[in-house]
Amino acid sequence: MNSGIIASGLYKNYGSVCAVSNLFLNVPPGMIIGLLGPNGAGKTSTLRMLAGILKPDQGQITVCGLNISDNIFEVKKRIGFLSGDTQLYGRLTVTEVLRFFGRLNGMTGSALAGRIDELIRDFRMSDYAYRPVSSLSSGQKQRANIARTLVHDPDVLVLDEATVSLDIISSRFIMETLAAMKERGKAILFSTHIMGEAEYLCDRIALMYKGAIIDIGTVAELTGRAGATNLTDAFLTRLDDDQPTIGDGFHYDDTA
Amino acid sequence: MTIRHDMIWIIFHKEMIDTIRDRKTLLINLALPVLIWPLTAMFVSQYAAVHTIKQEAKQSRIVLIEGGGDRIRLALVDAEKIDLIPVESNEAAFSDVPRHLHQIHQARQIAAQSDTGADSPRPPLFARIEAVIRDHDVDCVVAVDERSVGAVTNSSAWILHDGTDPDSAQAARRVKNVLDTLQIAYMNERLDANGLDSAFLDPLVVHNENIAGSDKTVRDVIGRILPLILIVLVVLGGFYPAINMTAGEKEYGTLPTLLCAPVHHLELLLGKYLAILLIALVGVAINVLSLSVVTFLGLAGTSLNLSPLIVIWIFLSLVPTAMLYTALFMSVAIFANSFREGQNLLSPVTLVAVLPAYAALLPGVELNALTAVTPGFNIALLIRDVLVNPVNPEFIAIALIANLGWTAVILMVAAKIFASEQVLLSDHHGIGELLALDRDMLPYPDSRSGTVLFIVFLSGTFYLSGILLPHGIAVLIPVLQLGLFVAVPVLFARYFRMPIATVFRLRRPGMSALAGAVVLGATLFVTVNWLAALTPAPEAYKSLLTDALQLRDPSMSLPILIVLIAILPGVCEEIAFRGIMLSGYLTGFRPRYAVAITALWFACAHFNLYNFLSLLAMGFVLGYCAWRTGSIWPGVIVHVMNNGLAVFAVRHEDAITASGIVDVTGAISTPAVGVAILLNILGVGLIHMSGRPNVTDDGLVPHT
Repeated sequence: MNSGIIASGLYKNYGSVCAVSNLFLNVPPGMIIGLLGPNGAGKTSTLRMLAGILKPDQGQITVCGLNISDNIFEVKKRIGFLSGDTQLYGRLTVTEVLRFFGRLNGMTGSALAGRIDELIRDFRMSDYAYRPVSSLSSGQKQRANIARTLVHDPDVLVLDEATVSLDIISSRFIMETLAAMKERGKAILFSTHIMGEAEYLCDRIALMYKGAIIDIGTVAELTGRAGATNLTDAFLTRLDDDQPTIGDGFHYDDTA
Repeated sequence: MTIRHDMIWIIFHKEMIDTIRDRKTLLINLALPVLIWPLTAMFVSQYAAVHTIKQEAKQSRIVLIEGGGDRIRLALVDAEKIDLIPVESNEAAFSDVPRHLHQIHQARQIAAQSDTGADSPRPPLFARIEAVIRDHDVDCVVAVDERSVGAVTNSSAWILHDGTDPDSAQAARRVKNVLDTLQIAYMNERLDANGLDSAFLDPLVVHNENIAGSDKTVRDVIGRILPLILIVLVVLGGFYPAINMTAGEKEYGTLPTLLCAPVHHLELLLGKYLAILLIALVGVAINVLSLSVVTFLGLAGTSLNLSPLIVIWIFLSLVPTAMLYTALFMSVAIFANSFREGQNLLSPVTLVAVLPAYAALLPGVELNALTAVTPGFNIALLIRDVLVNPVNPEFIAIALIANLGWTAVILMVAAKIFASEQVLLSDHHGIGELLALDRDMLPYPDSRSGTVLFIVFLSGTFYLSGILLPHGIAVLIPVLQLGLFVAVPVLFARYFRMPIATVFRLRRPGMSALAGAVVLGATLFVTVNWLAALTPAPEAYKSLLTDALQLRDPSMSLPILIVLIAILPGVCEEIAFRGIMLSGYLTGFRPRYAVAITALWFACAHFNLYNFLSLLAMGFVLGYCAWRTGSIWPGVIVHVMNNGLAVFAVRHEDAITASGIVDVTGAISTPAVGVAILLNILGVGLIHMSGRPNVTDDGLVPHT
């Protein structure tokens, strides 16, 4: 059952530094939620916790109805995580990378081979499928990385600034892929610094600041509440306010 | 949690493919050994041969300063490859040489009779001759005072040469050969003149036979060097892959990708570990094979032939070493965030790893029960013995099991490290940050600062003791305790603006804790000494230590000794170890591990292998006191009383014997140990009952 991601009351500290504080978030299936925030707002820590890479100090996360702390491996099999930091092994070919991550996710034999062929075909990677990753261009690497994220056909996608330092063609490819995944009912959480991407892609946008979500809604709702004409102005206005709109964290329960 | 073998295999397989395509690893681990041994052997043997031929062909230029007859001159003139240079070529340099040599001879005779043992200074004449050899194309100078064969006084000849100059050394050898021949001729003439046979000079004929045979002698020599070379090769074999698969993954950004997958950290650790181990072992196997081929073909110019059985033994001996060192390297390299940082971190570790291999070079170090359990030492000695002697199978078993045990311990530590998301993911825990001196970066000591302080304490104790011990403990102990164990941590804490009272755990303890400390302090001495007796030190060592600490020195009164050996260490070492160091480790580890690490460092810093166990136990007790009460003061009481009683026991042995604590043999009596342990438990119980102070969320103990 894909019920997306439900996070409640998340906290994460690094020593005396509080990275995430009392965070609530719901990412339903078939929806793209954008996470916007300045550097150091806690976006990466949040996304890593939701992807099962970091353990929260406090709080609950369920993915596809499974509690992450009790079913970490099952949860990870249902998540595809991609960030600017997640690189591929340079000396392995694209096919070998996909096979490696497919096998780690429990895929074997013809099912894995078929899935790899499908991704190579859909992502138009046949020209470089057997070339080492280190010999690929940035755009080709990122395509291979998205294919790696999707090789086990996860129900939930978590992307952390996945388009950073990519050219417009590669960025657009990611946007289109995510839109297609949304149509297939995937729950997608997407962090970015690029307002245009967020406006283009996201059904809802969560504004994050100092470890907490300070506002969430559609672009129209956010601009309306901030009294701004565009998302950038709304974002900056909210940061100036430095106050959460609803309580300490933010409960968002929109399964519509 | 079940470890999935298929996951380990998938990671291992990926790492092997990745490594096989890495040219650097292939070059260092595979290609280099194949080439380096034959090339080195051929180069060395060919160079040696060519050099010997060239050297042999050279004429030796000799200055002869003669007096008396001319038989020596004639013998030297007739000798091959010797050219006599006239003294006039540099008359000033050779003036008065016989007189100076006579004085040197006399001075040496007087020194030999007085037997002071002191080295006599180098005569100025030698420096003058050395300059002549260096600057004037002369190889050696021969000064002769020649008498007739029948004269009462013997003839004498001095061969003045520079042993570090090959030409000079060769000239001296040639002259010596000529003079030796002449000496035999002189002797025969004397014997003939007196109607004696040459056997008259050999009333006792000594036959000193080396029954080892030349092959074993060569093995003995090689057996001392080979372990060092092989262990260096093991280290080299594991060094690069260990960094590549840990710090390298972090630097290339592939580790976060891997952590997205449903893999347990133990599976990740074991997959990588097995890959590093296999690469290191393949490297070692190629090295051993290459070396065997070189020696088999005689390329190294030795008569040593390594039999296949010995080669297999050597390789099998290296397997546990490779297991141990690769686990160690992996555990350290994972802390680095980049390849370069990994190299910086691992370089000192490799030095420490190689050091025990020097053991095989040392005379008198044998494979026994103690060395067989010491990592590094055991395998170095085992390889040496495999080459030279039949090895006791028990020691082989002990050495192999000990190495496996050490490997298991290190892998357990590695598993803890790999479970730490801060280590795997954070870019804030690099060595670079540790070395940077941002005053705001460390508001409270952490485990890294605990380790850094330990290194400072260890090296400081070593050097200060070496420098100041000759000045007596009245100088050494105050400098060591106040300067190293108090001033360094206090300055460290002040520099980083840490809360001094909290960091050093200076809070006032409760009455129950104080009572417990007094009970422990009065009785721990017995238990600690009983533990120390389990690993008894040789009497010579005990005596050396007693002398070094001036425990029986009549010039040191008991109160002064109590201050120097009980009070100062009791206070200062608690400030250092149970103060800032324990506080640091408590922020990164669970209390039991923090106490254990601190106890281990405390025992190491005493540089006393025989008392290691008892110091470790004492460190545990003191650490527990400090953690449980949040205060160093109970530990200070225990430490001061314990050391004070130790001093008292040395000064008043009779009183201790009369008390029944030790029996007539000097051993601590069993009833005394039993009572002491019960009272120790009572003391710990009282401290336990005092309860924990308020602890904030981040583990800090507030000062009250």
